[in-house]
Amino acid sequence: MQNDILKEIQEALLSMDMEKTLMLTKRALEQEFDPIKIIEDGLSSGIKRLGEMYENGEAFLPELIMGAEIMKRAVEIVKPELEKRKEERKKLGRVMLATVEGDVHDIGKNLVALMLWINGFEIIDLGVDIPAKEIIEKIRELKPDVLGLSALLTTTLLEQKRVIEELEKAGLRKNVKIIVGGAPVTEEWAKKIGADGYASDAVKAVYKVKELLEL
Amino acid sequence: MIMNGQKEWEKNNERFLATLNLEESDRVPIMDIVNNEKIRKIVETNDPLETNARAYSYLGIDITRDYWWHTDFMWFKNKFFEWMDVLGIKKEGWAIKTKAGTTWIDKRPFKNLDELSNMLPPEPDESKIAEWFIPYHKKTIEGYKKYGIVFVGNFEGPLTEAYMFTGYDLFFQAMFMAKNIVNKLLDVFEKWIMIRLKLWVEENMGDVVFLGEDIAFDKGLIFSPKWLNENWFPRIKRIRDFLFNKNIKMIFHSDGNLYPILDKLVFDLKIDALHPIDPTAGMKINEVKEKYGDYIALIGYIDCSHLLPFGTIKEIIEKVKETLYIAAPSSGYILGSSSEIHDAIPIENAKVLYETGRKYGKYPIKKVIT
Repeated sequence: MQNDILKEIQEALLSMDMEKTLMLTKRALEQEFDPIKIIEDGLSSGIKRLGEMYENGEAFLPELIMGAEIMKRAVEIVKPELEKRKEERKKLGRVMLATVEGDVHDIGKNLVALMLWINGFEIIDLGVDIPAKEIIEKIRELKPDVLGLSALLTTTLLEQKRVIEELEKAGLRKNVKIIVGGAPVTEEWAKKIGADGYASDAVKAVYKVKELLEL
Repeated sequence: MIMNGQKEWEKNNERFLATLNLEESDRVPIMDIVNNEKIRKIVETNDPLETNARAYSYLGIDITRDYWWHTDFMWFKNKFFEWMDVLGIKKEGWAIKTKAGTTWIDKRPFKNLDELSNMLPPEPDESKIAEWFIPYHKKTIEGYKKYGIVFVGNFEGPLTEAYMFTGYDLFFQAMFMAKNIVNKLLDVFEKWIMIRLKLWVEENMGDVVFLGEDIAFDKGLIFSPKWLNENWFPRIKRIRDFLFNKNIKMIFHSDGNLYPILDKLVFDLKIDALHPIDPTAGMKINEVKEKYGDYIALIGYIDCSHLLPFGTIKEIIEKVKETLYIAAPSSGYILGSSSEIHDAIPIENAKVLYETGRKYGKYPIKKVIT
């Protein structure tokens, strides 16, 4: 009975039915369901399945973005209960994400953040158009395990390189694994600028981060 | 720097049309967009249109779809003017930001579907559009013509206009939660483009138009084929049919990997040419040429993400030669970058791209792959 509602949440999310997903999430809470289970086994499972469908060409970007929005709103409903119970999801690691300076695109970065979060990572999203200096300060302060740098424009690709160089200069490079992504980014580019990894999309970013952290 | 103006323009136009008709001419035409500060500084005058024309002339480009290139006029800034001052969208709450040589939307006046539903664009007013469109385009065409350069009317498709207006996130939400909003936006922007196309035709502004509709990215289609078939294709077909009936050629542009929809574009929509055959998205010009080369012309393909900004002169020459040998024999190819000559591309690399095209693009071109 209990697992049925989680399955229903998952199915409602996969059907892109915002209203039903939120209604079922509320109902699960009313039934005193473990909020972490609602997130992990209901909502996150739905998004993971959506990610697989996206990888296989059965779902497209609008479905993925819509799924993310549904999940975001459902998590907002669950959050107060989580806080009340002082429960926390287990964390596999801390990932800091930023779109580099000069670039204002965030759709790819936001999807990477979502997929990593549902897979158990803590996310620090610095936002878009972030100068190298600010990224370095935040790394020093918050000590993430992984830094993800996004760039959509060729003109801002060099900024990924610059952040890595600045991290070297600051003596922080060895403290953090770096993955890069964005439309013009390639495996060769990642190697050339001294990143630890490259991911062509949000689902692959999860595998890459796990691989880098040997999880 | 100024060429024989009218005479050069006629030659370039003739070569351009022959290539779109898949007929051989004297050499492969060259078409591109330049958005490069270093080049602008070399040719700059007080007049942005003159500066543009001089830049294309300086590099040896025959054809462009570029309006008055200047950071202040680029893309969204231009679009903002068109949306607000011509289409009549209210200005309050919008903000733009210039970054990396172009301008992007920084702030929209709506944050959710409810707010968006109260701020949809108004019905386009034909007379108001004509008041701006006709003199602006005539001036642009003539400004380029003085330097022998052919200007191709550049129109963004209704879908691109619609999701640029709302932003991706809200447009995708509306697809599932407010289909009436999606339909209304597509209706308005279809009318917006149709009015301008009609004016383009009535005023005899040119034989070719460029229709940009970004429906794909590096992984493939942004939207599902089913959604595109139901919501987008009938609209784009109406636009295509209008142009076809007026004997106007249509170049279709979308970045990204278009393989899943190429049959539809070529055989159902019957486009005349495809741009830019995005190499970073896995498109291969030999494959496209082999399958569709008897039906459409191909434009672009020279990678401006890595090759043109970071490649050596030798690598660029080899890639241009290889591309010409694959795509140009017996016509059907127009040389150009895979998007634009942006700020990260050194002047020498841009120059060698076009010089190689002029040198090795003379017909007859032997079909030899190096």
